[in-house]
Amino acid sequence: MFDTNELVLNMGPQHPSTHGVLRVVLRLDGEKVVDSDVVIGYLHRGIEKLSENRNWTQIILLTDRMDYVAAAINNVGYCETVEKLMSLEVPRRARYVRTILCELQRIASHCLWVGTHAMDIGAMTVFLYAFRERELILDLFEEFCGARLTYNSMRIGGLPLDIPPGWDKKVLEFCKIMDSKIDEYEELLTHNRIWLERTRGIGVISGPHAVALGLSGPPLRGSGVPRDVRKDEPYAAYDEMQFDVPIGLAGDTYDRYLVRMEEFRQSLRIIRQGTEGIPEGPIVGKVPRLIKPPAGETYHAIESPKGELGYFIVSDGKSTNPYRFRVRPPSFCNLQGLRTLIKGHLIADVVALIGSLDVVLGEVDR
Amino acid sequence: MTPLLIAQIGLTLFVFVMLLSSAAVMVYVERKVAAMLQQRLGPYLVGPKGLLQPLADVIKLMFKEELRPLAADPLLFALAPILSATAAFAAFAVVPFGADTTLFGLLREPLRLQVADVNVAILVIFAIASMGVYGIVLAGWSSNSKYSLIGGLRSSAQMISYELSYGLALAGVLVIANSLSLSDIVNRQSGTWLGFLPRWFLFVQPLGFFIYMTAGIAETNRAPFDFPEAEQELVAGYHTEYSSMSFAMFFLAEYINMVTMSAVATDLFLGGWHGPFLPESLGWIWFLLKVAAILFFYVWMRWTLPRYRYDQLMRFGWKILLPLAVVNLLVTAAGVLYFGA
Repeated sequence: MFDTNELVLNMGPQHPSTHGVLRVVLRLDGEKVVDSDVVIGYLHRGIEKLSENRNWTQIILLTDRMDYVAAAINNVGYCETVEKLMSLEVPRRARYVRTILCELQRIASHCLWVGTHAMDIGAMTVFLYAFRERELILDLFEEFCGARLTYNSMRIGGLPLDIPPGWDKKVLEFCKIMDSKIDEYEELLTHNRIWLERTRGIGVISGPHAVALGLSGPPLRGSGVPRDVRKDEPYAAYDEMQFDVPIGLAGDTYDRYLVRMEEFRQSLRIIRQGTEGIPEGPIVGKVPRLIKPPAGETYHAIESPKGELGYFIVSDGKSTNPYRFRVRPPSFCNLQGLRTLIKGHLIADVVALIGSLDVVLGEVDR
Repeated sequence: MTPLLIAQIGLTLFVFVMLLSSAAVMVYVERKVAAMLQQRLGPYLVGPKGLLQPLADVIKLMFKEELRPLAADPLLFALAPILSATAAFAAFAVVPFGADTTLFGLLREPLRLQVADVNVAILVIFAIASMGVYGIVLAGWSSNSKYSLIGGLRSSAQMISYELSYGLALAGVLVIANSLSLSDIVNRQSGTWLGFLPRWFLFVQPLGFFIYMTAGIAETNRAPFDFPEAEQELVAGYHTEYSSMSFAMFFLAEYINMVTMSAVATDLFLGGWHGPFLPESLGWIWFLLKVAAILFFYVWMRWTLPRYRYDQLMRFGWKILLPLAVVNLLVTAAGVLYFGA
């Protein structure tokens, strides 16, 4: 079946660094990857089909379970899609809180990414440093909604709860701590010779090629395409925030790393603006008691830490559950690039590149 | 039996037990230092401050089931860990760790604190260290598992590229000391230059020391050169299929190799048991301190640096370290010719 000169190595679904249950079947020439096959589906829970039998509010907690390291962002994306379908007005205060939560969540997700990515390349200490800061964010979320991982933190039309008193001060305090911690990660990695040798020129992908593969988020921006849903199609309160979209030039693992490191800083900038300018007012708009969107379909995308997270929802206008619920998960689309990226590289680079794409298998399989 | 012979046998046993316990201590130190570097607590439940943790680890491993893959070669699979551990223990035999002693006047003739004073000690260490790699390669091969095989192949390639520069780095010291016996080499390093600088070969062979340390990390498969067992790539590399005590043997071998490496480095470059403030009879305290410092450095490196890639290490070994070692040797030889030993 295969050439005897090739070694077929089945990496995963149980492997320390395939980030969950990803399975990559590698065809190796020595340690060089000749070709590969990315196998997914080990974490399929049928969230899309399940949603067709849940009412609109119940679906929010299903979205938590997709990208479980950035649950709040999934919530926001879903709620905004339904609001768009129902043409609901969300109060400004709720939109601000959503923005702050999204950015906190982005930092938490990137913390997890920098930790695991560095660990895949062998630098174990960064992982624990990053988790130390992620813990602070989880504390903030716990204070806001009581949960630490799957928040169920949004409602259609606004927020379930107002922010607790003093919470905004704690967020600002966190921003202050985080500022210096990002420098700490960078000290350990950015100019480290070994890190440079391991990431520079590894998994290069050009801008047009990245677009053709459907990559989004940092893997796309690392290749120099300035596409960011927050800037291009602002949602929540992003149109009122000042921030930059960092892009890379080379399109290699190192540039994707740099892009995410800069996103840490931009997120902090957004959080500061949001927390300082948080307006007074109601937290929920005028939402009917029974949520029953009119017949029709809509697509709405937001920028998750992994890339463009889109929801496509069809409502038949009669029942209290969606007719069709479809997610465009950024991890799934980014994973498409893996086969192209790892071709010709070594086994050691395969794990570096899986980390560099930052996939969450819960989202890939849903 | 003369008292000296009894003392000699006692010493041999003592070294064996000390090596075993040094591995246990290293397990504890590694975990504690890693925890310190990573701002966590580390083991603290078993015994005071977690001191009994290594013991708990060993007991746990002993009670684990010994698993062997069906397709594995039974003989080689059992032999590999034994080979690794034996080689690790044997290498320490020629390492002196203190000045001659009469055990507080108990013996009439002085006892040498060394299991065997071989006049070609360094060559013996080389030969035995190279034996150790058989354990790894055989483990990788006999497991009949792909991850193990790749780990084993990596380690053999790594050893070949590193043994050369490792040997050449030592040659510089040999040229200066004009001897292959480790105790002779240590004794050449007593006293000071200009009254304050100890006559350690580190100061005449800084490049040699650097090469020795780098190659030594590769030799003992420690991060950032731990490819044969690169956890994130090869699951556990050559010992993926091992469990229970045979796994513990590899673990033991790794730590003892580290201790031997550091002890040899201390003898060759850091003046062995010579140091200020302490009388010659207490020199072993200096020896232990120096070894501990090098071991700490190893642990520190492991938890700070990312891992190199296998091909990059090869390039580094052949294109940078080897030429450097050759240049070092040539310059040293020229210096010895010109200035005299």
